[in-house]
Amino acid sequence: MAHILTNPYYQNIWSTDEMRDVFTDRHRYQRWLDVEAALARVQARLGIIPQDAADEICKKAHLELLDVEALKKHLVQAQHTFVPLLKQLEKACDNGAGEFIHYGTATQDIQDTATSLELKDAFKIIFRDMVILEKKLIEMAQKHSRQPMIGRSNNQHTLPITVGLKAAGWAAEVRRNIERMKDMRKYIFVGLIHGSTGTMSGLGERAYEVVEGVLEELGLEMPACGWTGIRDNYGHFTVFLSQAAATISRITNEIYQLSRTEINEFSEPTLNPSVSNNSAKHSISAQVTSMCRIVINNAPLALQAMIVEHERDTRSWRLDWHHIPENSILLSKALLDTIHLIDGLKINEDKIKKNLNLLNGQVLSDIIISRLQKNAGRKLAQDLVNKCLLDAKNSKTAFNEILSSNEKIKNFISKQEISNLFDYSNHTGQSARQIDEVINLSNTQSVNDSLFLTF
Amino acid sequence: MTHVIDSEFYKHVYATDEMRDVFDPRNRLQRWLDIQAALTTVQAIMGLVPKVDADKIVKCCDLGQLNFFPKSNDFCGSDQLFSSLMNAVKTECGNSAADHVNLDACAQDIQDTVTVLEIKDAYMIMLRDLLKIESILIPLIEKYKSQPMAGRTHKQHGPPITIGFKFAGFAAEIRREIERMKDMHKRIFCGSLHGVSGTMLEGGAKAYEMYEALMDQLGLDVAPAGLGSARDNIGEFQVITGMIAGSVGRIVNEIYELSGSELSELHEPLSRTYVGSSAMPHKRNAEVCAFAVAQCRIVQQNTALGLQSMTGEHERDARALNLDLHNLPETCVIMARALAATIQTLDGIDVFEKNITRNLDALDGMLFSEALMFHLAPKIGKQTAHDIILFACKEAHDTQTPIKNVLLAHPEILNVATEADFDEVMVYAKHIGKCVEQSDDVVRISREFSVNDHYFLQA
Repeated sequence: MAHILTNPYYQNIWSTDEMRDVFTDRHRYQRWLDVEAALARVQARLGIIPQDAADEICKKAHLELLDVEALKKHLVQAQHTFVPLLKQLEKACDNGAGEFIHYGTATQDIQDTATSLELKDAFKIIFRDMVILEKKLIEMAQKHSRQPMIGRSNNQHTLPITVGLKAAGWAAEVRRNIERMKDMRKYIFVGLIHGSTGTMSGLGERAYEVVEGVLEELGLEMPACGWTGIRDNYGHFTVFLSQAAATISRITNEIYQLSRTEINEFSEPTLNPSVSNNSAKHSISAQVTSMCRIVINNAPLALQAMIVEHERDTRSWRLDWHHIPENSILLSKALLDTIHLIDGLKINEDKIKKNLNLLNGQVLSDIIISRLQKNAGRKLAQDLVNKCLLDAKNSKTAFNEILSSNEKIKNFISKQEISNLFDYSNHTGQSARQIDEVINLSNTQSVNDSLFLTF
Repeated sequence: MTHVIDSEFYKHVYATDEMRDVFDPRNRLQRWLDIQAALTTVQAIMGLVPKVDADKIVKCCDLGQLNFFPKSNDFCGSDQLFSSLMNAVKTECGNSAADHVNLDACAQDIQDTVTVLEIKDAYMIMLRDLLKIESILIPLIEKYKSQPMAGRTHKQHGPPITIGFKFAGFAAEIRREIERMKDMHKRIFCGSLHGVSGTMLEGGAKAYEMYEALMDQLGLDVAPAGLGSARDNIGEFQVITGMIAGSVGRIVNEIYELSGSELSELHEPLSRTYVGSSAMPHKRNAEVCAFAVAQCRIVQQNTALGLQSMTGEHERDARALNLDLHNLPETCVIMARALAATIQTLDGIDVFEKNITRNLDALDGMLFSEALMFHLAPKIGKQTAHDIILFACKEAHDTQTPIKNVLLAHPEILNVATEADFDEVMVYAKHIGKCVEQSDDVVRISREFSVNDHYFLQA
């Protein structure tokens, strides 16, 4: 074991059992055998191979019935990724049924079709968790919809937002990813039983019936043409995962920043509350952010894998074995951690209020000028406020105090109104409406979510 | 196939056992213990720990003795695993000695130092394999340095090269990678004992002495200032590894290209048990090369992560340094396999000389256009010869006639050249430029630079 995803001490920090299980070696081999079994069943039904042979193949197409040790030895000798499994299936089949396995198909047919089945399982897990995350973010947006917090542009304080609007911005982005997943579904769950060069030559006259039959059995779509040398569907999947990772790491990175000692507006829950020895602090947001960086970094590989030469090209094809499991597994854990993070996120309202007024109202100076100019004219309003800003700086006194006690300003606006002007909750614009819009859109779009959880 | 480098069925295709061992999780724990033992030894020499306690601690720093088999679910971070391990040591070595097991405060230092030790082991494996690749290439250069093969630019034939010259280009690049590895040796193997913020507060008054003595024990170098978020050393290692993947990837990709059915000039050696395809018994896929190309792409792509881990904020930034936990094992293990694949490919490579000669003449002599021009120049003028040959080549191409025949039939050539003249010019071996000399230079330079290679292979 060397990889972080198989490391016995760390693998549960970096992955979940559920998604790892989709891609385990044994599970993958069983899928390959499942494809062979489906092929035999369909070919028997069409009279291409004997029914007895198909029955025997289906009966034996179970990894636990094969000699896995012999298979492993053969894998090293043969330098081929599939023939050794096939050989063991052939050996396991009695009464000469082994002669009818893998009838007219190629290695890539079996492996790619099985990969599409893996993607389908991975898709459903990620889709499910993405919907849960959206729900948590919407709850957060609703709960804190009117709570002002400082807005920051280029790390400097600017006009206030609300905690709810920040969460709604996250929720809206997650929803867009959910919709992207729905759109993507129609491209990626296709099978391939088209033979070595995609012509279907090995399948005889009834080739179309064979391919359609097998893919129907497996619950995959029939492609318009073979795609042995075409990888845009898998590229799409990995690139999407990378995009989703970018969304998730925007959320977790923001939490990481806002949890820093000086800002301290959010506090993270612990990853595993049952752990007794918790002296070492583990930041979930940092962990998720780094996992997402890895997922993002795999996107270029998936795109490179699309540049296939001729009808098959191992140099591209075998990148799949790396980036599809790695991205699915890391993203799935990143999602789960983010759900946990949002669920247990502590919103430090006192600190949020304190930070909001860190610059003593200077962030509101433009708003005050706009109000003041209605009575004092633009030029005078600007001069008065600028003088207050300068006085505040020179006398090291709070800007809001200086402005409130400025006699000239009092001539134009009442003391009460000045006090209202310094109430941040009056300056969150359409934050509340925008939160509602995000929720409304989610309610509309989520109507068909369930169709993408079971298919 | 949670990750293919640890796959039950394909780890031999994507990994080597040797490099996987370098990053084995249990080995990493043992390295942590080794550092504790080394530090205790140093502290005992400095009089900070009584000898009897020190002996106890050193004896307990053996994973086999500790019976430490934690579950993944027990941890939510590597610091936590580290302190659990240290607690196990404390329990094992008894009360008075336990007080001197004091690495907890430096958990991150120790993890970084272990990473450097791992990188050092990985470095030596990679360097050894690069040297092996070079040593296989050199006899190939010498054997084939004057044997012509087609030169190809943008997939079109250009002036011929020699087979040995192609190998020489590989070897020269590999030698440059070897030298790059040697260059970074002096920089990148620094360990840490600088404490949480890098100030060495935790080490007390004798912090420097302790740090220097510990690094000496571990065979690592001393950094002038705490490394903390500065991960340029690890970044440099990953960038150079990415470059090695580029060089090795070029070699295996070239062999893959030249093994295609039409060219069939070079091929990785196929064993008797090789199987090409589940459908087509005739297939001779260059499978080892193809996998190695894919592996090199992954390693190259990981370089970007190595660079990202350099942008850490403040004194420690988990977002950045976590990346190395993923990146270093994956990169090194896949790189090691690609290096092994390259050795496997070159050692006993099939050189199909007949096909090389056949392909060389694919343009039916048109490659000699420039040579024929210079041959005719003294008789009819260079520019005139150029124009005649230009049109002759067009005709040769369109009518699929050898260029020689077209030219010999031309009224202006007819009287100034004979077939025998042309035959003398049209010998590929006469037009290989300085391939032989360049090949010799590559071999010579490799010998000159290799005199101190052995120094870098020592722990």
